[in-house]
Amino acid sequence: MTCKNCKHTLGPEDLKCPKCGAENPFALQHAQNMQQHEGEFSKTEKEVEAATISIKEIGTRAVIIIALLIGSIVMYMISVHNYADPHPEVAVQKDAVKNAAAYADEMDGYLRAGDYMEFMNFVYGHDIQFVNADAYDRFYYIQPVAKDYYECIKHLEYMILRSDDPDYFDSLNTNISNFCMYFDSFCETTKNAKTREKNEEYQKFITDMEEEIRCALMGYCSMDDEAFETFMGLSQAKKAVELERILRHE
Amino acid sequence: MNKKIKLIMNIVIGIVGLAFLLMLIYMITSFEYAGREKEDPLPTDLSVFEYKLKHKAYNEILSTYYAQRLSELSAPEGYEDMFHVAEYTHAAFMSEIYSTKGDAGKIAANASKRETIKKTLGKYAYITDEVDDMLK
Repeated sequence: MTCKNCKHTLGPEDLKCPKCGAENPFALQHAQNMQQHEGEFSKTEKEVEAATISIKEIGTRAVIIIALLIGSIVMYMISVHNYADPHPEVAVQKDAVKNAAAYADEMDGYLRAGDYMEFMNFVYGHDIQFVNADAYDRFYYIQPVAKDYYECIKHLEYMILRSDDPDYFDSLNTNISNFCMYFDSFCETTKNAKTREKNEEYQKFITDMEEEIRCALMGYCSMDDEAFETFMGLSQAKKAVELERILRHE
Repeated sequence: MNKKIKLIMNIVIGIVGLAFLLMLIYMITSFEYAGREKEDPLPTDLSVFEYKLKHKAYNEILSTYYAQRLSELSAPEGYEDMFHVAEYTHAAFMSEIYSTKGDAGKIAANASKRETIKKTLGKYAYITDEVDDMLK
């Protein structure tokens, strides 16, 4: 590039000719262009920097949120585990298997004392599963009879010992219905157990339970032998009607 | 746009932080219940027991008793009085059956059992007359 005035050779950044002092239009244009580019570069640089900072901040926040969420979930799970209801029945069932021989002897004690209700309370309290241990095998036929006996006595108690307050909740019909259901079941299981039970002592207990249910009905429902036999011959629904008539003094 | 995102994230951090604090409190209080062997007794049932006694609803006392005996071998804490009342009521009920049956051994054993329970009834000793009247 040469000066238009003196033809002196000029550099690309010589704004004026060093010899004659004339202006170099190309260098001026170049300087202007460079200034403009520098401005644009600076602006872009700032924008890139801002965007980078912003991504960092968002990333930090996202990490905080995730950490808090994970912490909350972990604490929730620990709390749920701590608040969960205990399951003592598993330990109770294991205990019933472990001490099967001793418990079976204790159950025999209740049977010999004629306390069949306590026999069942013991069975339920220890959560005895009769199939879990060989020591309980001997109760195979008597246990269903005792269970129905327990339900019959229990519901008869509910019927007889109900509140005399006419405004109090009256559950008599429900109890009569339950009693009749268990009474029929008792008759069935007794009949079955009597024919299958080989142990003579247990045979006596079954007969004793049968006798006590009969006495309970006769004592509390004013039945004589004839009325009891008639009652036995009724259907479940008719038994319920008859009991309601007796207990409501209709 | 970035400002809006930051604002939303700050709000989310606030909410999650609050949840974190609540969970922390929830977890700290939960340690008190950790490792329990039995469920906590319900003391509210005591007032219900008094209500049932007031209305002579011995059937319902027995019902609670039998329900408890399904899982308890002895009276749980707070249920001792209810157990004694129910045990007396049941023994009294059975005495009529043994009388009808004419089983002298069981009548004697039952009478002895009732006397023993009577001594444990304390302020509820009056229920023996009420129950005996109801069974007549």
